[in-house]
Amino acid sequence: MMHNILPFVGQILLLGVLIAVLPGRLVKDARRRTGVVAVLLAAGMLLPVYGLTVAQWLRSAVGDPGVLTMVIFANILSQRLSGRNLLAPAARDSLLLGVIVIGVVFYPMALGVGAYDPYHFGFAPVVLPVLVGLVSVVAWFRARRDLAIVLLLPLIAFNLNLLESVNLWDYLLDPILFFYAVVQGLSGSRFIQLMKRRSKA
Amino acid sequence: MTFPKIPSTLTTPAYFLLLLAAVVPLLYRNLPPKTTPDFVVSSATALDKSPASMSKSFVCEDCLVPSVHGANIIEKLDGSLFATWFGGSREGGKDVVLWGADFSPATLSWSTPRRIISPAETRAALGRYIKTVGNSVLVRGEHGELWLYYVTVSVGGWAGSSLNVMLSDDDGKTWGAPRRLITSPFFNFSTLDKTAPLHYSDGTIGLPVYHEFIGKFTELLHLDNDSRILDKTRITHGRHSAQPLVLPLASQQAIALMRNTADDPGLLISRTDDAGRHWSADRRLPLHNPDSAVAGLRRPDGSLLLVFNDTLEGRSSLALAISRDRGKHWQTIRHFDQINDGKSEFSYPYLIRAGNGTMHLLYTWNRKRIRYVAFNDEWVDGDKP
Repeated sequence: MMHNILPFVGQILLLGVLIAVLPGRLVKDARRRTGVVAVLLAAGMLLPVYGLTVAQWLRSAVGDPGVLTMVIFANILSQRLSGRNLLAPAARDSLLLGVIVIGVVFYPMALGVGAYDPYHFGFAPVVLPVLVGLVSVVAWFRARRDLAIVLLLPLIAFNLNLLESVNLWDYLLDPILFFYAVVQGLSGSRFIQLMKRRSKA
Repeated sequence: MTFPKIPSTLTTPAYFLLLLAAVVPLLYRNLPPKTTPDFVVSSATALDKSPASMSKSFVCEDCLVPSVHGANIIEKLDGSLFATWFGGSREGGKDVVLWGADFSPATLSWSTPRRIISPAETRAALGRYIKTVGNSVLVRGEHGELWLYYVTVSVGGWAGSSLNVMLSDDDGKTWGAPRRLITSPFFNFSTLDKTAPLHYSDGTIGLPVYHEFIGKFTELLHLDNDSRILDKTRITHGRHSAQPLVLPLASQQAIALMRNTADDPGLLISRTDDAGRHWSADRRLPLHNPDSAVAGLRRPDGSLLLVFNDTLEGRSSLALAISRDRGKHWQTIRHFDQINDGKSEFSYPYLIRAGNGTMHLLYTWNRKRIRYVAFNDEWVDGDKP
């Protein structure tokens, strides 16, 4: 039962982001935009189309978003609907940069390149939560406090078995977040600047 | 507007409390890291000395649908047999469902096939679109319960498949709702089962699986008594292997025999000496095989049996081979069906050994029926007719 709640939130966020980014953009007035998104979201979550709701069709195609994806989606929704960031842009960019760096190594290996499978480390994990905890501590003391807290959320959700998966990687990373980060990395000048700054340092 | 509120209200001590709450339960639960238990290998050493016998029939003379494939079988608690397979208008079709039938030793006959689960029923249970169902594997749990692991596809072909599991507490008569297993980090693409499970000394289960999306490689899932994944080990990597048959030889040793999906056909073999934690690089066996599935088992005397298509192309010959040196050398000793017309298909074997020593083999017969063969040790070891 517990592992149905967070996936449901994930469906709401995924569908909400798609609506806010696509049709929501057409409505200029902020208050009316929120109303349109809410109505379309309710329809997408409740009305069946060929036996499944739009949210369930999406879930069939892309699965359940991980916890960090939900944070990023919540941030996008907040931006689109209220103009406010839930996550400081610098923290968001650092997070997405980390997702790209890890994803470009992780996914090929997990899909069969080489004998080593990093996904295996997510089952009954010991090393992975320690690494995530260390990164969080570093972020805290480098004044990226929101990032430090956000990095702990997947660990807490994993402890509570809030997703279907029993692998910690699925709480931290998913292909939706990876592709989103790559697209942001390719399109966002601010993001590219951050990468350049990092490479100079 | 940025996000200054939480950091300013959360003090460093409060942050560290949150950190401890996140990390410590995980470490408490998972430390010390659990070692992989030993394989269960039958302690019996004597072969069945009954007079040689071999009988052939069909699980279903009329399988109710035009195309059937992917059969597997298990011995029930009362000594009878239960088989499942998938069938419909064609492999991968939306009308394909999982079928099942019971074999009665008293009447030596199979029951009329009955539906086990359909894509629509799976969809209703999972709240996701399910296009079709595929291979299934029956597994006996530690407490006598019966698990059914089966493949479903939501998007694309078999490469987009995922694994699901159902539980039966009445030996296959009725089944609980299916549950999805998350086995891959990339949209949960693509894990498939086909070959027989193995058991560990602590009652947990090993399920050999394979991956078909981008890479084609083989893995061993380690599952607890609730069919939750404990670990996953890669047997092979790359783009050239599928459908691993894992045969435990001793408590820590096993071999995996695999389909070779590369251009140069021939079965592949890999070995483990640490209960499946690490596997040797795969190498080709000098046995013909046209990239098709195999079945097999270890007999009480330690000899290994392998059922496979012994052709370079096509699946029109299904053979039995034996190895008496732990899989190093194989000798083909029998054929179950052999026409060699290039059209017939005798494929996808699944072999078990029942408690009384009788071996039960199922395989796809021209995609129209499921062939059932029962044979014993004397038939294997006796002179060829």
